[in-house]
Amino acid sequence: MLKVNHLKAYIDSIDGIVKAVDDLTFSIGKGETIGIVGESGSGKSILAQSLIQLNPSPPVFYPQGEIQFEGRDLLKLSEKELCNIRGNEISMIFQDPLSSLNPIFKIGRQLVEAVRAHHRMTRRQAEVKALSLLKDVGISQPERCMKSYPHELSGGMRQRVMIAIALSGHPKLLIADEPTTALDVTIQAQILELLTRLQSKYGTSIIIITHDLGVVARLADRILVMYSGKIVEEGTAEDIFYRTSMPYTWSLLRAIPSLKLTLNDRLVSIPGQPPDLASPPQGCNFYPRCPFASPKCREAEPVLKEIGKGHRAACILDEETFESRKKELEKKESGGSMISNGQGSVTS
Amino acid sequence: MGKDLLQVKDLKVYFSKKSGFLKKKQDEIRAVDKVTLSLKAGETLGIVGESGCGKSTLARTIMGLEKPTSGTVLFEGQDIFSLNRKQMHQLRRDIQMVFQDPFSSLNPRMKVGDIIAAPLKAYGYPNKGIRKKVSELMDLVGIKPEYYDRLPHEFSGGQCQRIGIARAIALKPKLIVCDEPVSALDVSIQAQIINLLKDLQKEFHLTYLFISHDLSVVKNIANRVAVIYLGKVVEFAENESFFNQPFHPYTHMLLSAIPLPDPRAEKARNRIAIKNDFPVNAGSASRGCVFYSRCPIAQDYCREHVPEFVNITADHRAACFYPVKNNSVVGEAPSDPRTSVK
Repeated sequence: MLKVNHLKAYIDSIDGIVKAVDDLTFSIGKGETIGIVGESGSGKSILAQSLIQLNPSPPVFYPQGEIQFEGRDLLKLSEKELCNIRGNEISMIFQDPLSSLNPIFKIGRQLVEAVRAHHRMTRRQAEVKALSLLKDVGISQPERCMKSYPHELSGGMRQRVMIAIALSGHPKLLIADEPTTALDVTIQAQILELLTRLQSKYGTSIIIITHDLGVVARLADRILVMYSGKIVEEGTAEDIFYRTSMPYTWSLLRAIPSLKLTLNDRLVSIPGQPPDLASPPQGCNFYPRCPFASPKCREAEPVLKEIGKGHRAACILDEETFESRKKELEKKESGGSMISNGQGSVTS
Repeated sequence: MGKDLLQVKDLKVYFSKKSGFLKKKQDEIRAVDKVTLSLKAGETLGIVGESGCGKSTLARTIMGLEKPTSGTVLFEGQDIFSLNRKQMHQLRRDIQMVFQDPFSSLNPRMKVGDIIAAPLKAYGYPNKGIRKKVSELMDLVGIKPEYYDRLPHEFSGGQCQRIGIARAIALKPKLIVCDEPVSALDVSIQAQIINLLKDLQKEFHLTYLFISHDLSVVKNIANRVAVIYLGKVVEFAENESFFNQPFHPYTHMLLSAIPLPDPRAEKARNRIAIKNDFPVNAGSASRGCVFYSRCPIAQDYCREHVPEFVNITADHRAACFYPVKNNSVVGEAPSDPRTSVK
């Protein structure tokens, strides 16, 4: 349904050109859920916004690539044509539900506006539709919610309203950019539940963007792991979690504070900070933070190579060496405790 | 572990909520409702609850920033609300805080070195030695001392949190209140900060009050854990006992909400459906158990009666008539409340 081919989205900044999205290729089918995972600054939000061109341009520009959506290249459409696609065919939910709603208008007005933007309806009809949307996203008193201002609702309710607005045009594709990061774990569980339910009801495809691999474990059919603007590993959820083939994905998985650990266990963190995209390191971008780095990693950028059906990873280590190195490291760590420090480059 | 550094006894903090023209109606919000806790020197107490449950109000009251409606907070045996201004100033030296949002807790116009130096200056540290002392502190938290003259916006979230921690430990406090210190950070950076806090604790014998909504984070840092729901402590135990056999259905709900980084386990999981949102305005009107409206195993009995906060096993307290057995909320046959609680 959506096919992204060799997409590049660069930002023209004072520090030079920032390669926020660098040669990305992926596709998503009907009713499928894709998880895009990466740290802050890995370019995942720029990617999401590029898909429907919400990025201000300039400074963002697209030197290469195409975004094929049902036979059309979204990069070549006019602003007017894009407006017809946004909300009607592709819509988006953002991280912070408070700043995505207008604080001075009641929820009802904002929702009715969204409904009428997508359907030819009278105000009365739109209100009925808005109420049913609110019920759909699990708001128990939709009438009262319509009459509330955004600040009167809790974070979870606001995010539900955002989802209702996003669904008002019956989109074929929903892009959720960190939809649960600002929320409590309990509310997060509810929102994820809601997304799964709505997906099976409407058959919407979902792209969910997050920094937490735990969030996508249940939801995503396929997962893309992004690091400094590039895909470093791609595969089904099973591939990523059980046949991890890239040191970065492996490190991310180990960093999740797990309920399996006890008080005396030390969390394994990824040392340092994500690289500055204006001046990325030579060779493999993950090289400075990689536990298995060798001088060879510095020479050339690893290519994304197929290692299983639909499973791709960008690392020069082959499967066997990677496995043995992992074991070695785990053995070493269980022996002596490591001292962590986050000494790294300052982003400037 | 030493003696009690901090004792909170029957602490209540109520806010009045006025509605209507000319204060026609008055309702109370019980942000903290009869909380009793103690904290030993050198240990970490984890406080867990959803947003709006009163955990930040509790922290603020312990810091002396909020006046309690009733109850006492004893720090080293001294009631902090009976102190005069001068004594309070001295007390603030011993209790420091690390905040949730690493960006808004640092002044954007100050150099990070000056931010860390501020508490030192406030307590009369000799001017000459400040720069050296700050460099040491920066080194300790993993920020290069060369970055003394940089501004907060030049740092990432994790680094800003390190700067906030350096500021908190500058005066060698006895107690540090950490209010959701990692929830605004990426997973990979969370682990760094938790490890840093643990290292500093060992080195300086610090005591933490660690507030979070995520039980998996708390499990990795807290010696004892208290779960708060609507201003009340509903479960309190040592780390091991708490996670081996949680008794309160709310604790089970929180645990079941944590996403597992394991697709197969995640699919096979019997998740507790979370009913309703967190009730924001549970005023004084509510009867019965505070958790009644969302409880997966609620009985009629719970609607009318308030469960006492009692010992279920020797060191494990919970406020529930039907404490969960065998770690399973689903399909549990509730026992008679009058026999199960002793």
